[in-house]
Amino acid sequence: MKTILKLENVTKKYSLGSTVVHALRGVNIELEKGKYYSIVGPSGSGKSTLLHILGCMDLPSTGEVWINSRPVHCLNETQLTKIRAVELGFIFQSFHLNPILTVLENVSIALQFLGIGKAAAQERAREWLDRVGLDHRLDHYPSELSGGERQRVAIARALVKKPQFVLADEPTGNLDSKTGQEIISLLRKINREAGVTIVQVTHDREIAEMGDEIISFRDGRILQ
Amino acid sequence: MIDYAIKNILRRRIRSLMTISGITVMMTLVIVITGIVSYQVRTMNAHAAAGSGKINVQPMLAGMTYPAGGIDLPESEAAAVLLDTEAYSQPALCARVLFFTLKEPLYPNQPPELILTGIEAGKEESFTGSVAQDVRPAAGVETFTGTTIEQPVIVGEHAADVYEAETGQEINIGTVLDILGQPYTVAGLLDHSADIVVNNAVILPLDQAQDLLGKEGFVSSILLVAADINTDADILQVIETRYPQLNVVTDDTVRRNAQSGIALFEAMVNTISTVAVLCAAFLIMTVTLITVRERTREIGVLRALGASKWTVIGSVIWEIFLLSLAGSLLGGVASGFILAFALQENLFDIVHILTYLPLAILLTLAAGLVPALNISRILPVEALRYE
Repeated sequence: MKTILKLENVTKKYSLGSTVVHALRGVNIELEKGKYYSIVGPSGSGKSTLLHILGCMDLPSTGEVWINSRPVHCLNETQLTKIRAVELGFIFQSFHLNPILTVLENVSIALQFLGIGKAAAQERAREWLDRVGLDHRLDHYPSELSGGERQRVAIARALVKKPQFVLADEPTGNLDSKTGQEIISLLRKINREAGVTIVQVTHDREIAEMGDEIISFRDGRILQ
Repeated sequence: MIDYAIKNILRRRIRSLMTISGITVMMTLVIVITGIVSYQVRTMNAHAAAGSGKINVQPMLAGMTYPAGGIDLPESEAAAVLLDTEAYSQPALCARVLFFTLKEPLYPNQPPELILTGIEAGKEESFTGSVAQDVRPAAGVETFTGTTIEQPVIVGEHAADVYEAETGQEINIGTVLDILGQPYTVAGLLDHSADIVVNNAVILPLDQAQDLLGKEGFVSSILLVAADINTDADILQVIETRYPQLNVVTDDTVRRNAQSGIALFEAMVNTISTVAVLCAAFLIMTVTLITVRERTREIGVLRALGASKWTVIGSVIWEIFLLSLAGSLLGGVASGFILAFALQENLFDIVHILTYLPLAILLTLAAGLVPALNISRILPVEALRYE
C-alpha cells in the first residue's frame, strides 16, 4: 500500500517555565493510505503532540515529516495552512464547533477556506450532514445539539473537503460509551467507503481495537 | 468573511451594542464640541471680514471690542471727531452710534445676541453696509428718512428670529415690538448680512434710542469710513494726536481680539476632542483585544481547518469596521440632531460631520489592527491549548 505519511527521527521539545519537556524522542512511523490507525498511550506520552505534527499544526524540533512524499518539516506557515485546508481533516475531543454558526455553516466554512462559493459549499455540506444523519439539524446551533450530534457535525466538517486523511484527537473522549461506539463505527464506515486514512488518538483500548492498527506510545516513543 | 463578521456581531449582541454605544457617545462628543468651535471661528471670521473698511472710534474705557456700549461719549466730542476727520473720510458714510446690549451672546467672544443700535437718520448704511456687502431690506425700508411711523425700528435678520422665538409672534412690517417697555413699529426687516452685528441689530433713530436709554447728548462710538485706502493712517493719526482718550477699533483689531479670545477656548476644546477620539480608539482596542482573546480557541480551530492568517485578520477587521461604521453613523446622526435642535443656535453642518466619519472609522480600524495582527500570529496548536 502507498505510504501517505512518514516521520523520520522526529523529536519535539518545548519549554514549560524553566523545564524542558521532551514530548517526542525520535519517532519513526509510516502510515499507509486508506488504513485506520489508533494511537494509544498514557497521558503525557506524546500522542497529541504527534497528532499536531502530523496535522501540520506544529513543527518538529528535529527530524523529517513527509506527506505524500512531500517534505513538510521545512514549509512555512502559509504552505502548512494550505495543506491543512486541502489535505487534512480534524476531529477534536471537545468538538470545537463554532458557536455562532449553524450546523450547516460549521461544515460549509471548511470549504469556503478553499475558495469555494457559499452556495456550492453549503450544497456539499448538506450531502455530508445527510451521510452522518443530521439532515434534520441543518439550521440548529451547536448549543442545541447533543454531544454525539456535535461530534457528527465535526466529522462532516472534517470530511466535507474530501481530505486524504483525517486526524481525530480523542473523538469519543467527551461522549458516553454507546455514543462513542456509534461515532467510531461511523468513522470506520467512512474510512472503508471513501478510502480516507484515519489516525485517531484514544485512551480507550476497546475503541482502539476497532481500527486496523494500534500504535502504542510511552514517554515520547513508539513501543511497537 | 464579511458574513462571518456580521454573524459575530449579531450573535454577540450585548458586546456589539456596548461597543457601538461607546463609539456613538465618543463620536457625538467630538462632533458636537468641534461643531461649536467651528461655528465660533466661522462667525468670528465673518464678523471681522464683514466689517472691512469700517473704523470705529470709541472711548478708551470701552476697550478694543466692537460693538461696545456702556461707556458714553459726549455727542459734541463725536461731532468734533467727525469734523476733524472729514478730509480723510467719506462723510456720508460716517455716523455717531449708540449701542446697548438687549440680550447677552450665547457663546463667549461673540457680539450680543440682540443689540440696540441708535443711528442718525439717513446714515444707516454706515452701520449696515460694508466693503464686503451692502445689506438691503428684505421688507420695508432700510432708512428712517421719510418714514411716517412715529416710533420706527429696523430689525436685523437674526434679531427678528430671536423676537419670533421669544414671543411666538411672526415679525412683519407693522408688527409692534416691545423694546425696554416701549412699543416700536417694525419699519424694515434687513436681509442676511455677513456681519453678525448687523444681523443681531435692533436699529432705532439715534434721538429715540437716546431718549429710550436716558442718554441724551451721548453716543457710544463714531463709525468712520476712510476716503480711500491711503487715508486710514491719516484718520488714525488725527485720533491718536488729538483724542488720546479715544480708541480706534478697526476690523483688524476686531479679528485680533476675537482670535486671541477664542484661541484658549479652542485649545481647551481641541484637547477635549482629542481625548474623546483617543478614548474611542482605546475602547475599540480594548474591546477587540478582549474579543479576540476570548475567541482564541475559536480562531485556533479556524486556523486548524485551513483559514489563513489574512482570513482571520479579515474577519476581525470586518467586524471592527462594521462596529465603528455603525457607531460613527449613529454618532453623526446624534450629533447632527444636537447641533441642529438641542442648542439654542442651529449649528448643523453636514460637511463638518462628514469630515469626522472617515476619520473615526480609520482611527478605530487602526486601533483594532494591533489585536487582529497579534491573534493571527498565534500558532493553531497554541490557540487550541488556550484556556
